[in-house]
Amino acid sequence: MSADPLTVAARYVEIGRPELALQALAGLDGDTAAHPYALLLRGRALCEMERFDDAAQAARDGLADAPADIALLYLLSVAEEGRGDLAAAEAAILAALAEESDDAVLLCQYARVLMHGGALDKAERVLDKADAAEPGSVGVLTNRVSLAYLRHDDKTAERLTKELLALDPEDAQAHRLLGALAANRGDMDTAAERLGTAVREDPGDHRTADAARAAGGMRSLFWLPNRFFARYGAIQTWIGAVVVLSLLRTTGMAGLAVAATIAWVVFCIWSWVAAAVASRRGW
Amino acid sequence: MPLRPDADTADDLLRPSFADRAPARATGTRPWRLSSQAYVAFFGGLLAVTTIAFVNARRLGLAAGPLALILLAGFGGLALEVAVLSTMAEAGGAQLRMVARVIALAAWGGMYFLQRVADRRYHHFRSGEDDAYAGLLVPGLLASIGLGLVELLLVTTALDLA
Repeated sequence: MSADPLTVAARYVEIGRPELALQALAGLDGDTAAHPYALLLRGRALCEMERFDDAAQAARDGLADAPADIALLYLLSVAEEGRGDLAAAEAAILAALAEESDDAVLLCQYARVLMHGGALDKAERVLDKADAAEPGSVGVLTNRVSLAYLRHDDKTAERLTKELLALDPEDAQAHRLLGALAANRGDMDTAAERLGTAVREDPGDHRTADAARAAGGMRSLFWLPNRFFARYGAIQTWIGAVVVLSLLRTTGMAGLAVAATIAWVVFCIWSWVAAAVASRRGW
Repeated sequence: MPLRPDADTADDLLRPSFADRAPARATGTRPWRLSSQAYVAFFGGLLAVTTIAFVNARRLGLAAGPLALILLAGFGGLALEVAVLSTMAEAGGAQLRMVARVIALAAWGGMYFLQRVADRRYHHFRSGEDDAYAGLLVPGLLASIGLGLVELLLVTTALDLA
């Protein structure tokens, strides 16, 4: 007896094999294929493949038959966010919240849309509400990490990510975040290790796989200036350089000042060329 | 399909914030790295870095207020540069260049802070199509040389008139 295609498709979506889920769904007959649940699975698979236009269409088709379906409204919000239409993403998730205003998953998606649009304070209040609805939720914690990261509060982001890992040591998202934070401070060894772990936990995440390869590649000497700028911060490095060069000039060490200026210019051009190479490689 | 909750029953937190926001267009123009703009400030000066920062801020989708502040930092810095250099009649070329660079870098610092939240948002929420920064090498060099010369002309003219 062959398994029900919907069950098979749901399983493929669950394990991160969206292309196989779509294959399974393609075998459904007309009526079953147009059922809201089939359209939900199709939309989730399409979202996973970043085909957001098609995913949004699948969600809308499903909502035509089930206008208050929370899962479809959630899917529509995610798809519209992926398309860059934040107004539509917000409208969809608010419609879902009108049905279930204390659902932590829905509140987290709304917080994500708000963060995407730059409304960080409101996103924090929405996450507080989600936390009250479901204390200790991993989803809330993950979004708090994003919020701290977007506020340039990397220390809080790292602390919260470690809390996330304490809850689930195999959380790919947490490893990815720690990898991104390490890369931001120029620690490419840690970045490559964390991102590599994230890829092992979630092999379907091609973007993280690319980031892991980039972090591994940037450990070589060629990327030294870029790691230096990332480690000490661009503004701080420039201020330091200008202060040192000015001091050398004003204290009469003309020869040393010329040598330091030439070294600084070479360092800058080197990092500029390295950044252009990184951009060309899609890093 | 009811995609908007009843405004009377939804609490304040669940009122729309982006109802009037147009969808982000896929323009294909990726932003530049913020730290790379420092080179343009150092080698090209104020006009060059203001132009690059302004274009980048638009790519990042900054609102009119921060865009105006970037222009203010640039042209305010230029006025400050002329004012400071006009008091340094006895100074040599190296000192004048150093002062101009310090002012350009200070202005870039302000522009950096105006762009950095939007830059991180771009980095965090990037999609598969816009997953990298654009290279600043060619536009940065063009701005540094072209607008650097324009700035030199403007500043020397202003100093001659002063």
